[in-house]
Amino acid sequence: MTTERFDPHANGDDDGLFSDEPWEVEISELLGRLHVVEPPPGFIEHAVDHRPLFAGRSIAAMVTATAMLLAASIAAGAFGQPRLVPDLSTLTAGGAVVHNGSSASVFRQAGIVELDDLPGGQRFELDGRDAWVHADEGVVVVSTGASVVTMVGVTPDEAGALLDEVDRGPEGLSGVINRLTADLGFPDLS
Amino acid sequence: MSDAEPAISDPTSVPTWEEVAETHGRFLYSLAYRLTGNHQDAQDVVQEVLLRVRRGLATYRPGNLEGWLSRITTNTFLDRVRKQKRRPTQALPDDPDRYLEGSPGIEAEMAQRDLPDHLQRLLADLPADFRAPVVLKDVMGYSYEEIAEQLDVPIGTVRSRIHRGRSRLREALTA
Repeated sequence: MTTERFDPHANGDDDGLFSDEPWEVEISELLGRLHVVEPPPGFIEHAVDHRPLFAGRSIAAMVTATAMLLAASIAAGAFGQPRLVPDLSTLTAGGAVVHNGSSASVFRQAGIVELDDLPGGQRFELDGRDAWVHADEGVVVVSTGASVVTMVGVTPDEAGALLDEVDRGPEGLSGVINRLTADLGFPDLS
Repeated sequence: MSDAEPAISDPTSVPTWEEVAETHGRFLYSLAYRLTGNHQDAQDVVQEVLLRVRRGLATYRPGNLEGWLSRITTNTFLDRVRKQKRRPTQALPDDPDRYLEGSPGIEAEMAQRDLPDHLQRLLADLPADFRAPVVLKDVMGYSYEEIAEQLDVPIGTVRSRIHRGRSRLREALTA
């Protein structure tokens, strides 16, 4: 690490606007000694080379959501019952979508889902489609007929707007996902 | 100005996404780290910021690029905090200073500790609504006016939050 710090506007101070108390000056000076924090080696280069493909923290969230779905699938399948959700091998696409300045991860599996049996969340209707939300995890699962769309990092309201946008937009959901995941090697679903 | 600062961009042109990432990546990361307090969250924030930048460049008007990036980074951080609801804001006492009278000098306290790490931990314990303006003001060096613009709150609110954030830091430093 270096001991440098950023100074975005050396002449742009506004000390005259508010007068700091002496103890505030002391705190401010201490904080001013905090140095520039270097990103891990290769982090920026990797971002440039590979472009951002997933929304922030959504990789972990996607893993969580996938684990939930997998657990549900195994729990049912292990006892000879129909699988609750499509097998993970049916995962066909995943990627990040930015909506109203907020990003979410979207991934899709071929098949159908038994929303009533998914653990921990509750059913609701999303623009006329059957859906399920786990509010604590920020996960929304929507049954779209022949496929299951899972969105991570969204509220039900955001999920509705997001689905509406990607479905009615010029690209459509498949186009958005395929464009954003082109570098991942997922098959083209268009 | 040190060599760690972002290179001065041509204010009349719109940079490419790659130029933003390459030229301002360290700036974004450092701000993200100071806001989040750890490398994992900082990486997530920067990744999300780059996503937003990628989309936002289509409508970006040449001007204060660093301010624009700082605004995106701070808002990304605050959005994540609100979504995760990790640390609900707790009201400070009306007069936090009353707990601090007679406390030893902050410099003396800090001299006994590993200052950057300890201070970063205390920063990370601040409620997000206090932490962001304190970081922007005291760590990154932005003016009150710039912070008010970035956070989209009145300048008096910025001043109040910074004062209260510093008060809480002072309290923690002398505890």
